[in-house]
Amino acid sequence: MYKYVIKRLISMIIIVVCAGIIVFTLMYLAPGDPARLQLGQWATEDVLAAKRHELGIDLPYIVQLGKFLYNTFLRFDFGISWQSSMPVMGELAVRLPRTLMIGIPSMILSVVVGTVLGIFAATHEGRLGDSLTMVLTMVLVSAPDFWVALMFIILFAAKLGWVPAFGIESLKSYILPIICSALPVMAVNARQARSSMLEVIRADYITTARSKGQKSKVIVRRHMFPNALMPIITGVAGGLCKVVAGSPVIESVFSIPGVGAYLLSGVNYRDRPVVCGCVVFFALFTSIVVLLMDLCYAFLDPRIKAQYSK
Amino acid sequence: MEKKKTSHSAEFFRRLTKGWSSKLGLILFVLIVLVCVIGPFLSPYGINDVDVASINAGPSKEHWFGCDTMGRDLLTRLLVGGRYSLILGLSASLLSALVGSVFGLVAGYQGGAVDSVIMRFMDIWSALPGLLLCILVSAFLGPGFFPTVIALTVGNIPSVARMIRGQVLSERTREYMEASKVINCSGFSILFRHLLPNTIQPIIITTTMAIGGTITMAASLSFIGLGIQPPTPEWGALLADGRRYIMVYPHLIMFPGIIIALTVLAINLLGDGLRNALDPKLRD
Amino acid sequence: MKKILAIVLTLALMVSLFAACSSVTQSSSAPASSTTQTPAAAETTEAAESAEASENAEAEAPAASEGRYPEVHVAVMADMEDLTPCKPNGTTRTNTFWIIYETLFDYDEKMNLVPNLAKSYEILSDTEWEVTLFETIHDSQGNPITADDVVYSVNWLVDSGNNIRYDLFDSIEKVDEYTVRYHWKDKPASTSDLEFPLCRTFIFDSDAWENNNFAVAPVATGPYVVESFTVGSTLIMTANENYWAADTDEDVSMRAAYHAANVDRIVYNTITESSQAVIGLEMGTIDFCDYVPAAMLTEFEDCGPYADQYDVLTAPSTDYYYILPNMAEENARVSEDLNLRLAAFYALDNETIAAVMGNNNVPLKSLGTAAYPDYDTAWEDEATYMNTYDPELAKDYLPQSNYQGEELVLIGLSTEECKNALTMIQNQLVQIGLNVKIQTYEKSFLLTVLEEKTGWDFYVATTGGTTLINSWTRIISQQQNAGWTAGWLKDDRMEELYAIAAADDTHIAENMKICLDYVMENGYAYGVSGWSSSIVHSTHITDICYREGYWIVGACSYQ
Repeated sequence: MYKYVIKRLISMIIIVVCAGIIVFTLMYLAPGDPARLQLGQWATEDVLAAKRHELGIDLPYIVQLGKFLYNTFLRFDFGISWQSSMPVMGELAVRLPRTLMIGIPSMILSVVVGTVLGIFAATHEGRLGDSLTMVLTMVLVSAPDFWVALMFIILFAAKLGWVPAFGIESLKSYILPIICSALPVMAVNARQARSSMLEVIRADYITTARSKGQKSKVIVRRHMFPNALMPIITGVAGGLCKVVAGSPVIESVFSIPGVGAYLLSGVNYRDRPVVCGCVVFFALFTSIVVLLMDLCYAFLDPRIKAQYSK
Repeated sequence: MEKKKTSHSAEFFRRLTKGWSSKLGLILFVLIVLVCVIGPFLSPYGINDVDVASINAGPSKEHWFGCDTMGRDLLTRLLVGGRYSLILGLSASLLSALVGSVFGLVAGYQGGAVDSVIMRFMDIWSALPGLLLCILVSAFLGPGFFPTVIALTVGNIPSVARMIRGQVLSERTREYMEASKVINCSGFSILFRHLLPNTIQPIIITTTMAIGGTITMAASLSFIGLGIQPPTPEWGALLADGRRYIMVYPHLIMFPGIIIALTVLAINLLGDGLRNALDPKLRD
Repeated sequence: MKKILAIVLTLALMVSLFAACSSVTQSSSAPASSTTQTPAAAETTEAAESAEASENAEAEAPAASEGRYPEVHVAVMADMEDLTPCKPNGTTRTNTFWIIYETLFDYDEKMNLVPNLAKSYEILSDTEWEVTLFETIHDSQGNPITADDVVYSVNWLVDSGNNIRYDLFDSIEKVDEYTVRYHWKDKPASTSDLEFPLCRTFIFDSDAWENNNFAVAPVATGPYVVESFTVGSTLIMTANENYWAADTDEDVSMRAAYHAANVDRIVYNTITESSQAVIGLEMGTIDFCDYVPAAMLTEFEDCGPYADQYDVLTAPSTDYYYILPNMAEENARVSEDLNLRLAAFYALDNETIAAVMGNNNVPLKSLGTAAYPDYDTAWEDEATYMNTYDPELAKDYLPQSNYQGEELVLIGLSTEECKNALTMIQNQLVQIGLNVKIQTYEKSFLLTVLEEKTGWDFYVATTGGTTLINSWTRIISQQQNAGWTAGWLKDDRMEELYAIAAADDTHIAENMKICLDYVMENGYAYGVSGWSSSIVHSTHITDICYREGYWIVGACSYQ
C-alpha cells in the first residue's frame, strides 16, 4: 500500500510540471500581444519593443520555458503579474482564503443537503417526494447562476436587509455567495446520490439481506449507503478541485476578489505569470485531492484495495 | 399460449417509457424539438426584424414573449436559437462522453501502466480550468459553430473518464467478467458489450446534466467574443444580452431561462428513462 | 425525519425563488421613459458646465481642514489593480490617481498648460524648455520635492518601459534646486504633443519610492492619501492633512480647482455588476455611480422613488463610435473602391443604430460631438452621409463600384453596445444588397486582428480625447502604425491636412473643416453615435468637479 502512495506522490510532481509546461506553451501560442494590451492603443513600436524586452517575451521559447520552470519549481516564485506589477504568489495568498471561504462551506452544504435529498428521493422512488425533489433539482441546475444570485440579493439584501449585497467587509457578506454557489452543485449531488442509491437498491445483495429479514433502516445504512458512496465521492472530489478555482461568475456578481476573478482577468489580458501560477497551483491541489480520493476508493471498496496491494 | 417474441427495439422503447417521468421527458423533448424546427416558419417575424419602437417591450398580443434590446421578437429568436443550442449542447456533451468513456474504459480495463499513464494525463487535463481550455481552443480554431463544439467538449472529458474508470474498477472483479473471459470473449466484445452497459449509468446522469452547463458555457464564450457570432440567436447569447436588465426587463432573461430549464428537464427525464432501459438487471 | 427535513428545504427554496421573482416584477412596472427626461437634464447640465469652467479659472481656495464632508462611497466598474504611477490612463485611474499624485502641469479646457507642481515654463529654444517648480512642495510624509526628484521620476518612467507618447522626449537635466531643463527631439507642434511628458508623468520623491510599496500604499504630493487598498475590492483614501498647497506662502491660485479635498474619506468600491451598483444606491451603501444602466435611471430621477436622496446628472461625453474602413492596399476591394465605401455609408442610418445601442447613445451629425471645444455645430447643417440616410443614393453608388457579392467582414468589440451596433449596421447594409458578416472579438484578439492588413473590411471603434482633433488621431493620423493610420491608410494629402489642423498655430475651425471635408469625400470614416454619461449621485453632492471631462469626487461641493 505504501509503495503505491509513494509512486503516486512522485507522479504528482511529474503531473504538476507537465501541467505547467502545457499551460505555458498554450499561453505562449495564444494570439494577443501582452505589451500592446498593457500600453494601450497609443504605444509606438519602439515603446512596445522595450516593454516586450522588459517582460522577457522577446527571448526564444526554450529560454523562456527554462526560466519559467526554474523560477516556479526551484525557487517557488511565480513571477510578477504583467498587468498589475504585483507578485503572483502574494496575490494568490491573499485571494485564496476568500475563495475558500465561499468554496468549502458551499461544498459541505451541497454534499450534505444534496446527498440527503438524493437518498430521500431514491427511497421514495416513483412517489410524490421523489418527483418534488427531482423537479427542484432540475430548476436549480438550469437556472442561470447570476440570475439566482441576483434574485437572492434582491430579496435578502435589498428588501430584507439581512445580509450585505456585495464586498468582503464582514463574514456576513459570504453567506449569499456560499448559498448561490452551493445550489447547482447540490442539485447534481442529489441526482447522483439518487441514481447510485437506486442502483444499489436493486442489487442482489440487498435482496439477499431483505430475504434474510434485515430491517429496512439497517439495510439502508449498512448495505446501501457505502456502496452508493463511490460515485458520490467522485463527485465530491471533482467539486473540491473546482472549489479552489473559484467561480468567476459568483465572484463578479458579488464583487469578491477571489482566485476565479484573478484567473479570468489573467486570461483576458494574456497575463502569462498569473495564468501559469494559478494553473500550477490548481494542478498541485487537484493531484493531492485525486490521490486522497483514490485512497478513499480503496478504503471503501475492499475489492479495489485488493488490486492496489498486488 | 406462446408469448409473442418482441423485438429488441420495441422492448427498449417500452422500458424507456415506463413510468410517468420518462413519458413526460420524451413528450417534452419531442415537443421542444418540433417547435424549434417548425415554429419559425409559423411566426410572422424574422429573427432579424428590428423594430425600434418595440425595444425591450414586454409580452403582449403581438409579441407573446416580448421583444429584445433591438426590438426583435423574442419568441421567434428563442425558437430559432433552439436549433443552435440544442445541437451545440447535445453534440458537445455526447462527444465528450464518447471520448471520455473510451479513455476510462481502456484505463480501467487494462490496468497497470496504461491505466497510470491515462489517468495521470486526465489529472493534468482536469487541472486546467474549463473556461481557460475553452478560450484557448477557440483561439486556435477561431470563432464559428464547429470549433465551439470542440471547445465545449474539451472541458468535460476528464471527469467522464475518471467516473467510468471508477466503475470499471468495481465491475472488473465481478463474476460475469470472469465468466466472459472463460468463454473466450474478445477484448473489444468484453469492453463494449459487457462492461459499457454496466458502467454507463453515472455517465448518463452527468452527460444529461452537462447539457445545461454546455449551453451556459457557450454563453460565456459569447461574452468573450468567441463562439457563436451575432446576430445568431443562440440561447446562451440571449441570456447574456438580458443580464444587465434583470431588474427592469426581467422578461429578457425569464423566457430564455425557462426554455433552457424545460429543455434540461426534458433531457434529464429522458436520461433517467434511458438509464432504466439500459440497466441489465431490469431485463426480464 | 429526513423526509420532513427534505420537504421543508424544498419548500423554503421554492418560496424564496418565487418571492424574489415577484419583487422584481413589481419594480419593473415603473415606466421606462427616460428619453423624455434627458433633454431637460441636458439643459441644466450645460449651465452647470459653464459654471464649472469659470470655477476652474477662478482662484483655488485651499482645502479647509474643518467643514469637510465626512465620507463618500463611490462605485467603480473596474478595479485599479495597482497604484504604481506609470499607467495613469486606465479606466478607473483617471478618477483616482489624479488626487493621489500630481504632475508638473495640468490642462485647462483650451489645452493650455496650467501650473500644478511647476510654477512656470520658459521656452529657451525650439528643442529646449525650462520648467521651474514651486519651492515648498513636500509629499504626505514630509519629503521635499526638488528638481532631483523630477529627474528621478521621469527617468524611472522611461526605464520602466511605460513611457508611451514620449516621442518628442529626448532627455531631462537638473539646472538648479527647483529648475529642470527638458530637451526635445523636435519642435513641439502643439502643447498636446507634450501631453505625456508634462501632464501625465507623476512626480514623487526618490526616497519615498525606495522605502514604500507604491503598488498598494503610494506616498505622493496630492490632496489625498491612500489609507488602504484591497486589490479587486476597495480603495480608501483620506484627506492629506499634510498637503503642501494648503499651507504654503507661495501663490498657488493658478492651479486647477480639483486639487481640493472637500471630503474627509473616500471609499471606492469595485462593483462590476451594474445591477449590484443600482442595489447599492437603493440601499444607501453607495453615494455615487456613473454606470447605472439607462433603463434604471428613472428610479433616481425626479419622479422616481429615490428622487429625494439622489440626483442624476446627464452630460454628453466626448467619446464616440465611428466606422473605419480597411484601407490597406492588400484589401483592394474596399481600399480601391470609393463607390463601395460611399454606398455603404449612405446606406447607414445612424439614428436607428444609436437607438438600438441604448438610451445613452446620440446619433452623430458629423465626425465628433458638441462636447468638444473645437467642434463647430455649423458642420451639421451641411448634408453629408453622416446626417443623411439615403438608401436610394446608396443603391446608385453600388453598381458603379466593383462589388461582386463577396462577403465583407465587419468587426468590433464584443460588448453589448457594439454588438447591437454591428447587428444594425449589418441589417442596413444587407438592405442595399451587400453581403456582410459580423465578427466580434474581445480586446486582445481584436488588436491582433487589426494588425493584419486583410481579414476585415470595416471596424466599429470608439475614440475620445481632450479635443476633437485629438480624437481624430486614431482615425486619420499616420503616426499610429509607423506610417499608416490604424486602418492602414496612407494618404499624404490627408496627413498634411491633419498636421495643419493639429498644430497649435493653425488649429482653427476652417482647417478642421477642410480636413473633415477631405475625410468625407474619400469615405475614410463614418461617425456613428456619441455617448452621454449619466452620473447618479447623492443629494449631498451639489456640484460635480471635473478634470478634463473625468469626475473627481474629492473636489466636488458638498452640503
